[in-house]
Amino acid sequence: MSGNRRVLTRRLLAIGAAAGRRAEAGRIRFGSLAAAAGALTVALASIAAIGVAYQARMDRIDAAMPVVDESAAVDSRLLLMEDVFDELADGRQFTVVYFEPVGPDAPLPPGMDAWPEPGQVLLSPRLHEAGADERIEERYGEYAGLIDPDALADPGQQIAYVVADGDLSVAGEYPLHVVGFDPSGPPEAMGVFWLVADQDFSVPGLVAIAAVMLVLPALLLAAVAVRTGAELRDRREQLVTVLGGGRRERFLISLGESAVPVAAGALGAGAAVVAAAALGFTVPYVDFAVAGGELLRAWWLLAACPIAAAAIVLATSALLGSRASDRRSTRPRAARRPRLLIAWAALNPVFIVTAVLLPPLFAGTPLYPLLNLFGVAGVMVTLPAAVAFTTVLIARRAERFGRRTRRPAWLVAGRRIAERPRSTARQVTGVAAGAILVCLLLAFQGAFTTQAARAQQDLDRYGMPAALVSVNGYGTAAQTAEFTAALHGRIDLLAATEAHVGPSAVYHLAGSCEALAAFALPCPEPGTVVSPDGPLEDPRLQRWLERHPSGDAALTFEQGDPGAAVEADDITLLAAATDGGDVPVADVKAAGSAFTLGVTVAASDVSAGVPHREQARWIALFGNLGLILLAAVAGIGAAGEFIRHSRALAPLVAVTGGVAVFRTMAALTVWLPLLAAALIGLGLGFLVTRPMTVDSIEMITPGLLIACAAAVAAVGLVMWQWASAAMTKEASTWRPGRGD
Amino acid sequence: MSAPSRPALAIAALRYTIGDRVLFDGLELELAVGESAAILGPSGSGKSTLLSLILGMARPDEGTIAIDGTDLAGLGTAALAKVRAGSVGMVFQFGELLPELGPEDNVALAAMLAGDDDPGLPDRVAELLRRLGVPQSPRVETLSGGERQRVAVARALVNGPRLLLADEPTGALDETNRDNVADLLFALPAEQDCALLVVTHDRAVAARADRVYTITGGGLRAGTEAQR
Repeated sequence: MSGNRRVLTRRLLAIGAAAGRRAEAGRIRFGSLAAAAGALTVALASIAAIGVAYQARMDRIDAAMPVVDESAAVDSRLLLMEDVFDELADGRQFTVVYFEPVGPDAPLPPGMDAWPEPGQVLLSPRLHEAGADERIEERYGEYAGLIDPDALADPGQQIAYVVADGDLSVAGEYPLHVVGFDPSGPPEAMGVFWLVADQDFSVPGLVAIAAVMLVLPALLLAAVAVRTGAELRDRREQLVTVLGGGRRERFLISLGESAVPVAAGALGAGAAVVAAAALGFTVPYVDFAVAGGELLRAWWLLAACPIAAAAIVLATSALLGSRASDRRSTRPRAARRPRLLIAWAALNPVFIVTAVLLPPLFAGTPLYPLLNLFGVAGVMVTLPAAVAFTTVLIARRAERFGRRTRRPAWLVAGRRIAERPRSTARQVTGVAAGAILVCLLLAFQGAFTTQAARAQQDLDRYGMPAALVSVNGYGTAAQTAEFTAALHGRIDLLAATEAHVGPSAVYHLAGSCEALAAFALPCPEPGTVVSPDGPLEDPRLQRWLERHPSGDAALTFEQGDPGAAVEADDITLLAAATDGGDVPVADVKAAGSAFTLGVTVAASDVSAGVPHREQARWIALFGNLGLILLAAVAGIGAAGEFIRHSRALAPLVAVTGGVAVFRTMAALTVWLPLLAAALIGLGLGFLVTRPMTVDSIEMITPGLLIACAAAVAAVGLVMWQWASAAMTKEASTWRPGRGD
Repeated sequence: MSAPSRPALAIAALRYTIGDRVLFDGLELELAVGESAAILGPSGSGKSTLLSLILGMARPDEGTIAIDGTDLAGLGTAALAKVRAGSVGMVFQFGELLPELGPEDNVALAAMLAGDDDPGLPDRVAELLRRLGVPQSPRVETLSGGERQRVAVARALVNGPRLLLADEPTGALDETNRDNVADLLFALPAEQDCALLVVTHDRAVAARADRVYTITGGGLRAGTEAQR
């Protein structure tokens, strides 16, 4: 490179840098560019982190894969292993893994560095914390400590290890004969952490949601930020173009102008990402813990994120730079009558009706979801036009109000918005459509929870007056007696077996005379099976039978020993709270430690919906972040437009001293449209997805809607203050005849 | 080196429309080296648009524009930039100087954009500024309006252009400075071996040109009759 060319490069970079420094509302431009680079860095790092965390998680899940050898000799190197399911109230299912080391050389499972005593229990930290209210420490035996979280699939995993104090080979149905833990174990073997892997959100799904909700809005933010307050840069690029400069020269100006804020944003966000990766963090709202250092195993990928983000924003800045040569005229054009816009806007309520009111007319047919989806898609497509049309109507009223009451801010802002409906529509459409998209994704997620929703409705309606308790594995009469004794006075128990006679279910109950009397049943002679003479007197029993899936179940009963029945036939027990309230599930489970593998309480199917509900929190989290970014996109764009168009007012305001006009104008043009977009989007999203969510767990909660609206409103508020402060400052420093 | 007989600017059968409005239709203009021309016209008549077309910043719908024998039609962005840098100098109404640079750097910038590798460029620039009567100053912001416009003229001349364009070059100046800058500009074709095309509102400035045109009916008419 020749000397003059080097000088030229330096000059062009300096010209760009000066344009950045001198830009009116320069702080907004600096902040916007930095925010765009930072947001893109975090968005890209999120996707990278999903991949890295997933791989690390899978590695640990694989490391917990048992090496099973059913033909191995029963010697000191063998470990018997069996797992059962359990759950906390309103929590997802987790596994309770029972181990029985045959000898001292038995392999230790992941997260355990020495064998506790038989009957002792180790809990994962998260289960220990979450189960405190249900006295989880007492549920499976004697609590002996925590499982090392570093060895778990993730630090938030819920799992319990129990060292069996009985003969697992007798009590367990299919105990695995484990000779080691090795990721290269046979693929058919089920790992210790299999359930948590099974409950995982699909990684491609999570990446797709992150891409749509984080990366895409961050790119939009970059596109808006590079055009915000770029007038001085544009003028310099145009001048250099006239003087014979080409793409390279314009790029250098763009680079000089944008490099500092972009680098600041990317490096700041990159440093935060690295710090979080090094220290470990818990993803808020979803409560997913990432261990410190885990993400740093792919440090190069994390390091690439700020570099890629900066490169993308700088490239966007260069690509979306001055395009004066493409324009035929910079003079204002006559406004066209937006006939097409009005037609599209008119279709919006038609689609709302299609989405909300038509599906119920076709309940139970494939048309139900199809009509709803068609309506929702139509609402999203026609929303920009509807928002623009509504905006124009409101703006005209604002203009008239301003004229009538002699409020210049209302007059000017109303006039401006009314003249430029498409611009306002573009400004708010991202937020409104994003809000509907979030509701739609949550509604889809909710559609997987029909079973759990019905169980919840059932629970809400009937409560849990009685529950079936099944012994995990094999139970002896002595264990049953111990179990019964532990619950004596609090829980009434009968042995229960279910049979089907034709389409009807028949429950057969057996218990001591005392136990039968607790359910208001007479005590027949031993060996005599009887049916109730009339209606059941015990309301608990009555409600429990009513809740049978096939309708009212019939009942027979006899005098007998539940313990013997359990030992002989592996039957279940019917438990009902003595005081007539809901069955205290946690107490029953704690008493179940009398059995080698504990008990399962068939309380309800509510827990089946928990993984979907927890996965939905990822959608809500990313959705909310996406809405914040979209709000920033809209807010920055609106603030930039506001400043550009309000410059003409600066001399007038400087002379009259009425800077307050900027506050009102900025509120009307920057904050109000954003707030309206959030409310319209979330409201419509909630409304049009109703038909999809009537029979599922409610994922679109009032709390979530309020949080989303509040986040957007807060971003709008910041942008409002920023824009009005920038204009106030510009007006206060304006002097006659001073150019740049 | 171009042949002396080749016109510095040749516009033939130019047609240009904006929307449904025909701005130019069959416009013809030819300027030889050493000649000057002024174009008058009311606001919105297309004076600045004509300069944009000559600079290749806008493309005509029909017709040709050739600068120093090079037809702009079909030239790519890079080739257009080369023509602008090497053959055209431009003086704007408000100077359009970069406030962050001093007068010397503002002038040298145009030479560097044209790929000037001459190590003696700073001396050349200083001499040019001295000749045009620009006082030494670290920043252009401290110069008067007339001095700034002289810097703009120096910037337009530094590459030895065949065609000098000026868009309302005296529009922002008082009468004394207007006369000084106008005299300076219209002396350049003879001194610098170039052609000068000035668009202006100011009849007094236009009167200094060898030829005066008025934009009317989509074309150029000799004289000042149509000016309002």
